[in-house]
Amino acid sequence: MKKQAEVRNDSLVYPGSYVPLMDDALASKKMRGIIPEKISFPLVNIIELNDSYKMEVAIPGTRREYIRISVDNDIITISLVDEDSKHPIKNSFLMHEFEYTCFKTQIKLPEFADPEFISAEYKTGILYMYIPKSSEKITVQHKRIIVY
Amino acid sequence: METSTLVNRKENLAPSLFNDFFKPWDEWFDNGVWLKSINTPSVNIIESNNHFTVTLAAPGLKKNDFKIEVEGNILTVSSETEKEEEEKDANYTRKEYSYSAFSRSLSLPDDVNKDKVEATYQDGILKIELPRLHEKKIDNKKYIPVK
Repeated sequence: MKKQAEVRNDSLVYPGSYVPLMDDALASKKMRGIIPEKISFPLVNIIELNDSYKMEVAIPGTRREYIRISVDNDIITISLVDEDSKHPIKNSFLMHEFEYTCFKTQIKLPEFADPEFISAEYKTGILYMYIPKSSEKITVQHKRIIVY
Repeated sequence: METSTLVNRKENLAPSLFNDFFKPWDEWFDNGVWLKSINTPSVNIIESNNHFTVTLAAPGLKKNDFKIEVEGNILTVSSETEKEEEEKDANYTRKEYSYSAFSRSLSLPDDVNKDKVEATYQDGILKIELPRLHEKKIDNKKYIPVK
């Protein structure tokens, strides 16, 4: 299978259930067609704990496979491409205040954070991320974080 | 007009007059930056032939936290969860939402069957199905076959 060989290293998920994640090229292609004004930004809470930062991104009604997180230097990028979401006919909305099908948001990490060991988990509509603190400045070139 | 009766946002007290007079500026308000408080979850309402679907984006709660009431023509969704100790003195460096206590009311149209309202909570979305008493045809289009 030629297709298999093309699967990039960072598009693999954890063992257990094999769900191929969207690779960078495909995701950016999907993002390109979206009108910027239509993108809603998710709400974010950041809590400082003793040894880490806890980030809570509210993305209700999606699945962990659609969430992509990557770290470049000290910028953390969270994007969502939900392809399967059913789009009801636009004018059947009597009230339309939220839509979480596609977004991209970037957050700057605190100075003394360790991007190498960020863990991410999607639970009850919230993406929880734990960013450990570090004693010195750590920078990573590019790192993909898998959501569990 | 169902649209106006079903929509009843508590915090949106600014009348429509506002929209007309401050056209370019009201977008700020529409975006919810000013008027929308951080603990009011967003609502979508979708109308279809035989029911209304109300979805409320309130992530991070449990299904038992919600209290849904229908009193007269008013549907009220509220939640009041005991904040954990950890939460209270948490050191927030950024706080954009908190849905632990809220209340939102919507006035229902007359043709909702109030006895058959059902609600489910999944992935942070509370979905309330309100069946209609009489099926309504939304599609006003008339299709004419070509002979």
